[in-house]
Amino acid sequence: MRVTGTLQGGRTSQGVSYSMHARIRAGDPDAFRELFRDHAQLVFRHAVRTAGDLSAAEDVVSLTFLEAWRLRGKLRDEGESPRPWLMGIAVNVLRNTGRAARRHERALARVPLRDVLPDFADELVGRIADSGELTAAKRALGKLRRAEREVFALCMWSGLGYAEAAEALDVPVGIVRSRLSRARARLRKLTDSELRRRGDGTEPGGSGGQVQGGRTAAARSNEERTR
Amino acid sequence: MIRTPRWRREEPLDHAELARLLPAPGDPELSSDRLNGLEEHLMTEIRNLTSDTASDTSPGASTGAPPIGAHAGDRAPGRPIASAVVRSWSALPPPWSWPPPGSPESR
Repeated sequence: MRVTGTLQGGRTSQGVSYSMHARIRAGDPDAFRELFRDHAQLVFRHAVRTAGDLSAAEDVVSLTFLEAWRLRGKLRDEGESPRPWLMGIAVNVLRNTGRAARRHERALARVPLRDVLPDFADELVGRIADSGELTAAKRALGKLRRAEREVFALCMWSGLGYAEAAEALDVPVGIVRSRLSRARARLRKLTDSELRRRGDGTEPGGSGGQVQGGRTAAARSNEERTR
Repeated sequence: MIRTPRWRREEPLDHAELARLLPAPGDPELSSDRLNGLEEHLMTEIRNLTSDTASDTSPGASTGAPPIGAHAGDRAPGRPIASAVVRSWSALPPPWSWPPPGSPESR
């Protein structure tokens, strides 16, 4: 199945993917259903890991695809998948979730409510564990600048290649690499500082004067008993 | 300003090292039920939007009732989309045309 038009190259695989691109641009609802089924989990994971909030991430998923519908005419015939374009929309939604939410306020109000409590205990435990991991990851990610965070999250956590991340962020590939390189330098420096802080025992303690171990240990002789 | 040494700037990016420099972000996933709910919500919104477009361009067409549970600014309780709504939509001609008339993929 080939789409005539302004295609570059004549590879069969490109012909099939450009058909999907063209269907999205034309507003084919089935193409959007396919787009959602193919990429909603990816968008969700990216949103959760970046924002650290499960509930907000669901809104980001809805807003991303609503924005994708609104911006469908801008999807270019590049690459084999609309994934970079979609992730670029997700990144923009995450940058300014409030604005996207206001734009789609009515649609967002119609999103079906989630179950507040999970049905099964292990799902609850899973959610708590996820929450702890997400909090730690988000806190660490927060030590990077926004440009570095976005590239890091796209390439390292969401599995986009450099070219895909470049397309998503609308920057040259070299910029993606340099941002990752800066992120690495910053994280190494933070890690080194943390290791030095723990290694030389200069970690600031609590309030001075209190003997650790409680009153019994404090009351006993200072004579050394064990070595 | 602390500058990154040139040899480090040109160092190849080791993704394994990069991944270790931050805590693992976990592997959160939407349940299939929730995914289906969000999918149907999206499709309903798309149908609403195309209906609005059709009513704007076609003076004789009815505007149709607002979606179930629509309250701007409120989180109205969600209800399953009635199959009758879906069936009524399928009876209307789509405002978009796919494949475009005259294209090789015309069915």
